[in-house]
Amino acid sequence: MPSALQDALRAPAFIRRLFSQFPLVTHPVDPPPMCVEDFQPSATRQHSINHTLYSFTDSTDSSIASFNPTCLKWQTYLKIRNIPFKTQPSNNHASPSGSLPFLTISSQSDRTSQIIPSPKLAKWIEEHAVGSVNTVDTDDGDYRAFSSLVEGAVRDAWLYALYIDPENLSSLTIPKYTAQISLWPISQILGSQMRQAAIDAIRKSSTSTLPTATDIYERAIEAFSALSILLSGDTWFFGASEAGMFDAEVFAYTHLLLNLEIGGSGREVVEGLRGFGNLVEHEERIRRRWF
Amino acid sequence: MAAGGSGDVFDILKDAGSPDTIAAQRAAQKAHDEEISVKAQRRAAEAIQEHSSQPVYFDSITVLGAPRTRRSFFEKLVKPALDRSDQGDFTLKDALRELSKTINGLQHFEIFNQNIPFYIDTPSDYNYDPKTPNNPIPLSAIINVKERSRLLLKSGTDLGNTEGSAYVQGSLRNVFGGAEFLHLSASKGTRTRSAYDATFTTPINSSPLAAIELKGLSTARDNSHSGHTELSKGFIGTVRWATPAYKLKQSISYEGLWRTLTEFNDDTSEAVLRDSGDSMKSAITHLLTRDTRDNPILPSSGTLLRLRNSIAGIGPLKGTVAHWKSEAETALAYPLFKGITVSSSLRGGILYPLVSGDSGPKPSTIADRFHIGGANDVRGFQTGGLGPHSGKDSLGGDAFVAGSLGLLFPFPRVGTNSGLRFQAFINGGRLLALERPPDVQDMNIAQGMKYTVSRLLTEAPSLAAGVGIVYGHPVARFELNFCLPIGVRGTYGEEGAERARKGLQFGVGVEFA
Repeated sequence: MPSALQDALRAPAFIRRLFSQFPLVTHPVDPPPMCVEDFQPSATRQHSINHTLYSFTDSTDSSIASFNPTCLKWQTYLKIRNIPFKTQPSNNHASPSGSLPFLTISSQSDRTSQIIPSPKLAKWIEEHAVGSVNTVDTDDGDYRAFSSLVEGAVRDAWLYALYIDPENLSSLTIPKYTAQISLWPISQILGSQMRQAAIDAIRKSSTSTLPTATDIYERAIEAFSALSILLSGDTWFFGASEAGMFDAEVFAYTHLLLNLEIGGSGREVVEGLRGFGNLVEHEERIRRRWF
Repeated sequence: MAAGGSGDVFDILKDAGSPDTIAAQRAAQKAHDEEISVKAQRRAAEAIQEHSSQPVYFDSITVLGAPRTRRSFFEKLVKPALDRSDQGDFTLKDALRELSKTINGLQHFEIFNQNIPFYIDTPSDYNYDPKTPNNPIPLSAIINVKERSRLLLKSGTDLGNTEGSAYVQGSLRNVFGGAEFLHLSASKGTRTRSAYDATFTTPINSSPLAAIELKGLSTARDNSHSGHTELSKGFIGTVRWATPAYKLKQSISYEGLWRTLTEFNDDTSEAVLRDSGDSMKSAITHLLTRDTRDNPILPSSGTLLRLRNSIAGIGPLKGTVAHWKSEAETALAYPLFKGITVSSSLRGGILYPLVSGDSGPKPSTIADRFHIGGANDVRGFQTGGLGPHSGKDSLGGDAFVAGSLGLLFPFPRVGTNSGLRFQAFINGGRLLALERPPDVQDMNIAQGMKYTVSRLLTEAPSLAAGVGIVYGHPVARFELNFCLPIGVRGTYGEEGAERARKGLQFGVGVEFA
């Protein structure tokens, strides 16, 4: 039946013949609207770079570190793997998955672009980057345990220091994340939404009640201590001869904790981290080479 | 001496202020039905006309039937009539004209029933002295209004431009006894997915010609032609005023809108994605409308001129977008013969980026750019179908022109009163994004805009033509057209191509280009 219905709905032959005559004239297509870069002096444009990492950042220059750990992790890893890209200041609304970062690959020939969301980024990099000598197995039990230490204890401390501590919320987080719309009261409304999201995220990882700042920071310092022992005297984690994903992951937090001027209660965790000399050197090593 | 008031009396006294078109039509309809009453009125009118040059003055004007309306509100309303009478050299004809103006004003507030009878008599203690016929005769005028119900709750379905919606509305009329309105509404629709607004309107100094409107709103709009949803929250304050015949209307408004572009499609293009998230538009807009068309839904004669100028984001306005946006629209309807009318329109606009704060000018965002094309815009194109595109998305442009030329024919046998017409049209437009001249390296806005506008005016527009049926219903206009594109930019499926539409296109709306 469907085919009979389709036949019935199909335009009669004379209509199709008529339609094929139109439009009578086809003009060339028009250029798309200009972007911020087009307004800048011609010397600073980077049109030759086709990969763009949409992330929480202030700059289109990929050597300026993102102020968001997840974005910075991928930014660092793309740099480690020698993939040329530019960054695009953006926000979660832009992302098909609801969160940043994501990579777009545009093709100059037909002006189209492809989106790689962050969960698929590792696979994409593996397929498109030059092979790396870092062969650390990311499915290994130890690797996963240390990774969850970073994404658990360290991340909770980061969220507490930057979003829940009122001093850093108003001096760092709100200005950075609402730069697009830094107007009262909108930035304050967005700030309180971010704060609530951080509280929910910490609750999710630590069950029921919100732990105190001291609890959270102590757990983070314990985690740094474990990471420091893991790194010991090596250049890169897991004794690899070149930086890898885990180095990027740790750097994302250590770099931001050490380099953002974190005040308030957050100073506690920053001071704790400074106590682990090899982690501080590891941060400096990556920063000097890629940023 | 008494006269039942209605439009007809004033038609005879030609100088009387003309009631607005709708009221006139209603009056005409009534006259048709109630021939006898018309004859009576005509006799009264003749009697008045005989004595129209009789010197008079207002001894009093009384408004009855308005317990919930403030006295001071009426005092301001009748003041012009009393002042005119106090100046002397005031005849019966002048008195009727002044009363008619007052009543037109009362009708305009929409707080009274539209039928407002009035009576004129001499004060009970007045005795006519036949020896001095040229002494002014005192008049007591009584205006009998009936207040409409204060609370109005309404729910229903609505047809706007290319969308259908369901709504719930509540209105509080005459809130403080001076024709103030409080209006709350919530609606869900096909394109405006949800809209909530609260509006407070008050006349300025009891004038039916000037008002202040304060509005708070929150809407979610599905801009599927550009692959995203636009959320807006904000405030709009408007001062509006008009000339006495309401032909020329003007308004100045301030709007502060927090806009969020979100919920992008999986295949939304990068040119749209980079404008994602929050922006704040803080703008002052001047709107001027001069409309002499006999019927805006299906005009057969008259012209429309609309100029809209808006400045956003500079100096104390703040906001995150800064531009000057200017649009002009003209339309003309002209009756030919046998009910056939020509109708044409021409529109254009530019969006000029301005410098705000210490950062240089920024390129326009998709939410501010012009999008043209659609069933009641440029027919034969999809919504936002003209101008720069990427993938399926309309990116909009910073400068446009659009125009149409059409002929409307009455249906055989049904005549011109039915609102049904056949139409044949050709329409088109050109929408361009601001661009750098090809030989220039660094962006200069003025130079770029000049180049863009020169391209706009010298290159062939995209065109479509068609024939169809039009039905002009008092609330909306319906069109079913068979369209064929004539000139289009890019072939179907090509990156950046315009999106034309071949075959049938259905349009509903209150505004048609």
